[in-house]
Amino acid sequence: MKIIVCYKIVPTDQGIAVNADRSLKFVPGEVELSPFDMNAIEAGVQLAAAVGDSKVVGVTVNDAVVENTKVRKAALSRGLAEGYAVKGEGLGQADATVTAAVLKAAIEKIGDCDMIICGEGSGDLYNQQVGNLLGVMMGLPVVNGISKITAEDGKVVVERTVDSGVDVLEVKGPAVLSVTSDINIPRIPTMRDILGAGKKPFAIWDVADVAAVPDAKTEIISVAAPEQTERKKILADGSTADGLQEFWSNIGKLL
Amino acid sequence: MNNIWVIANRLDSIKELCSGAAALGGQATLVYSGSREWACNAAKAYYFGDGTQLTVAETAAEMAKFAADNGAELVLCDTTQDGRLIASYVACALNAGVVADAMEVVASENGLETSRMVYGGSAFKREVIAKGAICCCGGTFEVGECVPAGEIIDVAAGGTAEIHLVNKQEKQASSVNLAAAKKLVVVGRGIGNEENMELAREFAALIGAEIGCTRPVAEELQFMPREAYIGVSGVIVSPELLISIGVSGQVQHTVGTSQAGTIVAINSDKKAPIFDGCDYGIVGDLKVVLPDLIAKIKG
Repeated sequence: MKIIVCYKIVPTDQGIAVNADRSLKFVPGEVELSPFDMNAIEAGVQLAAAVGDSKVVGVTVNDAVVENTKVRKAALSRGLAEGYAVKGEGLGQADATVTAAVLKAAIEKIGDCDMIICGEGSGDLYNQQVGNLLGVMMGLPVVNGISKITAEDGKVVVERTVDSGVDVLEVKGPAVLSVTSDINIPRIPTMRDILGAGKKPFAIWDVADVAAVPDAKTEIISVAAPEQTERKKILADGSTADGLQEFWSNIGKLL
Repeated sequence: MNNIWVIANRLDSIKELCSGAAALGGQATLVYSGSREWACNAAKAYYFGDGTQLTVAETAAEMAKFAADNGAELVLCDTTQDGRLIASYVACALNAGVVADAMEVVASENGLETSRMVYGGSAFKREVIAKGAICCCGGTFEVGECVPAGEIIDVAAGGTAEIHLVNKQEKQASSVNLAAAKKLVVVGRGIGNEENMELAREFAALIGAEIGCTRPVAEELQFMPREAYIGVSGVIVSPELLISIGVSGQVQHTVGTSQAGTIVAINSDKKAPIFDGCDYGIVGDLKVVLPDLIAKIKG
């Protein structure tokens, strides 16, 4: 079985700074493998092990950051046999429908895919849409909210978290499965895994060689940090009876 | 603005989204499953069955296609897994866009203008969507008077060949809607143990507040279920009063709650960042502060 896992490279917490005009600034190089996608890669690797005679292939779409070797190794060291990246300007902040379309083209170019696994959402934009859109665009069955995947003959059985509990569904592959962060605890790569990651095949394709990038389907007006609400910052000392009383006189009427 | 449809499968979502659609466009058309009598605040409602034999995982595609084939241009969904799935199908059926987790949705010249949090809650993204789906956070729209739908039309759902429900494992349905709560108590890792959780629960109950938590409390300590997690990857809230207990106040969480009216913080560490973002705070042991507050409220 060839399992494809889609993953994203996102800014770290330290990688985002706010300019004076409240616009965002991204610190080059301060990037990481999106934590939710670690669960997806782990789920792929576990499914491959359960099915046997299988491999897990990573695919990512972004700008030149796909050339970052640290993140490449972070992904490949988690059990991927090989990886593919599609590089194009602005692809890291693209409309979810655009990302899904490019991923679809990349997956078709890779070929022979039996199952696709995605994380619940990317750590930066967190639309929770790309996995679903990818499946719908490819005409494949789509299930999101998956907390467990079990391989069975010719299909998978998944547990899907819904409001009222858990639905157990049979899904005929190939399909796109979006997994939640409680599906597993991703393995921590060993030194050997990380060293080995550097030797695994990794192809970087220019988006022009992969897909015609569709137009964004929404019009972005702004991306900006919120106005800082002026907070009163009136603090009391909770180690004294007076302090407790002062706190009470401040908030009692608000309760 | 016409042709705003709603596709939802929970009563609270139906009530709120139909009220919202009506406020934005004058008429709401609803596609839904669940209890037949849930249809309200819509001129016309299309009922796709009770959702038990065929779950939304199996009917999302046809519900979306139905709306697209019958003139929907903009579709409002909720932020459940089902809502997100439906939104994806709608976007593709209309060859249009999708906005996820919108906290604000207002009419604009070229469509609907939306606002949502991005980058771990560091920023808000505003965009206009002329056509497609919007997953709306609970509390985005005022819920109008619930008026039964003008007309309910039954539609036979077919399901899909590739996805098949095998079993349903029920659990207590959460009737709590943190997103719409006016008063909210948020418990952080500093809560420490179950005994202190009980104190926090008692306090919240006394003041009529809902109770949520930060990620570590849901995922590591597991004192509260995942649905109670507040923050960018959980529920997004904007209460009038927010009281945090044992929350350190790192960026990720605080921006998710920064839209609260008044913020009160209880923490034993005077250097905790939470105090920079609060209106009133107390530096102290919650095992002392909470019982004191509880006694004063009762007294």
